[in-house]
Amino acid sequence: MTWINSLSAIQWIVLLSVPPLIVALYFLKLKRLSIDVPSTYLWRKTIEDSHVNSLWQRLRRSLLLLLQLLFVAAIIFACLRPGWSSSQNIGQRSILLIDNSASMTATDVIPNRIDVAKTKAKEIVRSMTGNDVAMVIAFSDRADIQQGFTGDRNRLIAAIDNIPATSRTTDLNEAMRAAAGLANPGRVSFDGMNDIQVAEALPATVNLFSDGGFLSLTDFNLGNLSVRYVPIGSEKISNVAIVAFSILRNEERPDEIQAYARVASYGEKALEVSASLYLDDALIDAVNIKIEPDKEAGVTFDLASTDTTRGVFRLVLDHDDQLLVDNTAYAVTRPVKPGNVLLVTSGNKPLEKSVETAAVQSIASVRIVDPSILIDEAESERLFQSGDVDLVIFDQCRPQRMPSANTLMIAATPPTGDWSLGEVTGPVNLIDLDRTHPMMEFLELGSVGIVEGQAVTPPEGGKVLMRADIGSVFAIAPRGPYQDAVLGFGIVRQSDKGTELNTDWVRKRSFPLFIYGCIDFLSGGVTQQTAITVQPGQPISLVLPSRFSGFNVVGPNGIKSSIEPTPGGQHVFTSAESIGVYRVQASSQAAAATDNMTLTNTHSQANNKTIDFFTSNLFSPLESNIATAPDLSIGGEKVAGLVGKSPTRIEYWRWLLSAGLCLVVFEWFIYHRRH
Amino acid sequence: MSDPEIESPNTASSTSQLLSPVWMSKLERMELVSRKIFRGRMKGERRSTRKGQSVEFADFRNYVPGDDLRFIDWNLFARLDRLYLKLFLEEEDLHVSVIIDDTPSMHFGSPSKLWAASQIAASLGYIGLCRGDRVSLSSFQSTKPQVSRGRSNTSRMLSGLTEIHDASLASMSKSKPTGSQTNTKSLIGFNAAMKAFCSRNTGKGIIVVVSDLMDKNGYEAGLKMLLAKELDIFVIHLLSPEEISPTITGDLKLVDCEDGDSREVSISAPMLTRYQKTLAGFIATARDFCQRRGIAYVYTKSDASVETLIEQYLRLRGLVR
Repeated sequence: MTWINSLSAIQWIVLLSVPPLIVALYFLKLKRLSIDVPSTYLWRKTIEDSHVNSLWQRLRRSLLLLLQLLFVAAIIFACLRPGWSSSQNIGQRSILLIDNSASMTATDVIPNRIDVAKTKAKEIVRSMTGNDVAMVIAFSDRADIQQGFTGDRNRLIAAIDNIPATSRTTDLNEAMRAAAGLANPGRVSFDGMNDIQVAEALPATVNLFSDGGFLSLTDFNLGNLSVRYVPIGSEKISNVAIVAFSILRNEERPDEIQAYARVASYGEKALEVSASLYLDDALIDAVNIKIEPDKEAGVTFDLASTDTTRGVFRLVLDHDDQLLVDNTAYAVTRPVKPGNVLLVTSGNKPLEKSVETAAVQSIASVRIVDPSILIDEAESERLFQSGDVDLVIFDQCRPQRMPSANTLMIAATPPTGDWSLGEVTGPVNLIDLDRTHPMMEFLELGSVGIVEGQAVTPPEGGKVLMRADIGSVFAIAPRGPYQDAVLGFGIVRQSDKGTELNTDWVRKRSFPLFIYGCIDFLSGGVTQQTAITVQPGQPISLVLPSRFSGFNVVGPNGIKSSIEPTPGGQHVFTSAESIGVYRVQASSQAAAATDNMTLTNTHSQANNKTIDFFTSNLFSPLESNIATAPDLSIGGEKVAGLVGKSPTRIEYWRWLLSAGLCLVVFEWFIYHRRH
Repeated sequence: MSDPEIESPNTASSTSQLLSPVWMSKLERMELVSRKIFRGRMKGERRSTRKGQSVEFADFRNYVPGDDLRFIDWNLFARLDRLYLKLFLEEEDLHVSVIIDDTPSMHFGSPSKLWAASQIAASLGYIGLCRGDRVSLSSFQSTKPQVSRGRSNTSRMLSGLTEIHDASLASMSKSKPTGSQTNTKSLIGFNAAMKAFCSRNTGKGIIVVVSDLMDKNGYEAGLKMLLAKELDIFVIHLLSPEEISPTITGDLKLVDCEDGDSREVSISAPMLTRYQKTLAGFIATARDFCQRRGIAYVYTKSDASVETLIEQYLRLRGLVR
């Protein structure tokens, strides 16, 4: 026999308290009317109750009580919904896939799409019969299993109610893979044996509640899954969306910046909307845009007279449409900041000269220090690990520990051990350059002579940029968030005659160009004019200076998430759920650095300094186009949307049950009031 | 079942209620008949087994010296020249004892069973007094029977009955304030009352027991004692209409007025049907017990007319002629 729980815990408590209540009423109510009779002789013979006062005698004698207890027991029994499994009673397995992406917050249906989807899903849960089981999966760009397979309707309904609306984009792939987990179990194979299915396939019906605003799934095999697509949304839609917004420097006039935006219209009518641009909540410009249906329009704001070294730009479409989340976009400009370069050399005139050129000075400030500081551990730590330095050039020397910065190492390798240098041989003849790399652009090294040098082997993931007859002599490889470039030959070398040039490259035009390219690329001072933007829910990688003891990310809603610093300085922030501007603040109150990054939400009111920004914007035409797809294509199969209301079964037994219980209590009340 | 009526009627009115003049005139024409012939103590109006002085001839016997010469049949001596003595039947009085059950249970009913019992006793006693019988009235609780003879003692007999009635009412109202629990130790049951009667009365005669027979210790032992005394026994089984057809329903606590025993019952229609069966069985058992032992058994209700009882049922049973 199998049982299905039909009631919640509280409902069970109420129901189970009824039998003790009836028995208690039976004993408590009986203030029996005392009547004098001539003799109880005949009554005694009639009722044969010589021990009528004992508990069981009382219970035995009250047919009414017994009947009522039986009635309640039957109700309790019925609520457990007993049943026997038989071949005719195979429970259905339903998977409720509920879309909670940004487009589901559209208000073309009342109150909104996600609530309508929840209501329809709950109707299916309530219409489940017998051994039916269901699971609930909410999906946007990821899938969250809200409730595994269960026949408990209350848990399923609670799981559906708990699905939050998000501003994320939509990807059905992960949700379908989660749904297919049991229906299409994986297969394993052992050596010399055929494939073995790891579990029994359990066919299931996927009920997909969505507006269909996602890309078709082409490489997915439905297998034992059958899909019922319940389209959510109305036919009459109207939405205007910002699908792109960026702030760029005018290439001709670097002091000026321009704001670009693309605005798309989804609906049936041509619209004219006004777009307002705010800088730090102050209106600085506004334009009217005419957009044809299902077309996009570009808009440009010239911000020549605006002080835009750092500011939060907000573009707002003043149009009340059915999806509001895409009517606002954010961008943050970063200040023009020259790179910070540290040159560690014991004396290298050509190199020192090459970093003093006007071109280099315009993009970076270079400090030259002696290698002796590498011996002083505290000093080198202060210099290298503070996060203030963007690039360290080690000329024929190397630190004990790699700095928290990009490095260019000349005739030396990082102390990490994953780089290797070959034997010193000479002369070295350059063969090839990778001119596609920014550092090697415009270089011509055909006539460069090199006295001696070593082959450089970068670690895995590295890229060789310069090849010679002895092998690669210049390569670059990533080190966490940083990059290390290693040149296999020195500019100068020590000989019996003292310091002499190792290469004639310094006499050529390409050498200062190479140094400029390296500093431009590795110091990265002016490359990023605007802060990074991500779509809601997407992870963002942050490189933060390690001189601070901790960081807080303050979201648009004011919630702070603290980030513990890591030695590498790279952090991944995954909580950018809302659209808006996120401020990264250096915290002096955070705990000491640990190896792992941890995120905890806090509402600390510490007075912190903002060191960086990033923004979160929807920028998804798929989400903004809130037209409901009439059908879907999953794994090459076309799934038509269910038109009209799906037949569901509305059960009234709970009401009848309540009425029965009320009747019992009422009967007791009347029965005892009579006396 | 309603509370017993415990109002005490005044003696004058109760006497007139016990026996109405019309009823008394009817009673005067009746006489009590015993199915057995007993020896009386005094000369009365009934034939005795003894030969004595009366007008009714009985037999002859040979004269022996010392016999009263007045009873010699001189006509026979003239014809046969032998002396024969003429014998006549002796006429003696009849002992009539009426015992009334005056336990608290007899106070129930409308009219109460005790009142009906008093009426029966008064009627039978009046017949006896009119016929010169020795009428002894007693109750279960009374220690001294009231013996009277002759019609002139009618008012004395009636006041005696009223006293029994009033005393019983008084004892019941006295026990009321203490609750339903009556002092059972002082209460004399059926068997004890019969035992006391047998020890008091050595003579023979008619005994009429008016009771509801609802004694938890039974009534059989008491009746057997009377049988052993070779008395002519009449049992008038008196029940109230409320006992025969109870009108109570619901969850009740029934309290026995005599011993305070309580029974919690939920009275429903099936329960009442079972009660009726039990009652019918109880009456049948009593009737069967009496008939098997030659005891005259009469079953009556407290609201039945005493005239009907005397004129029809007791005449049918041979107590009254």
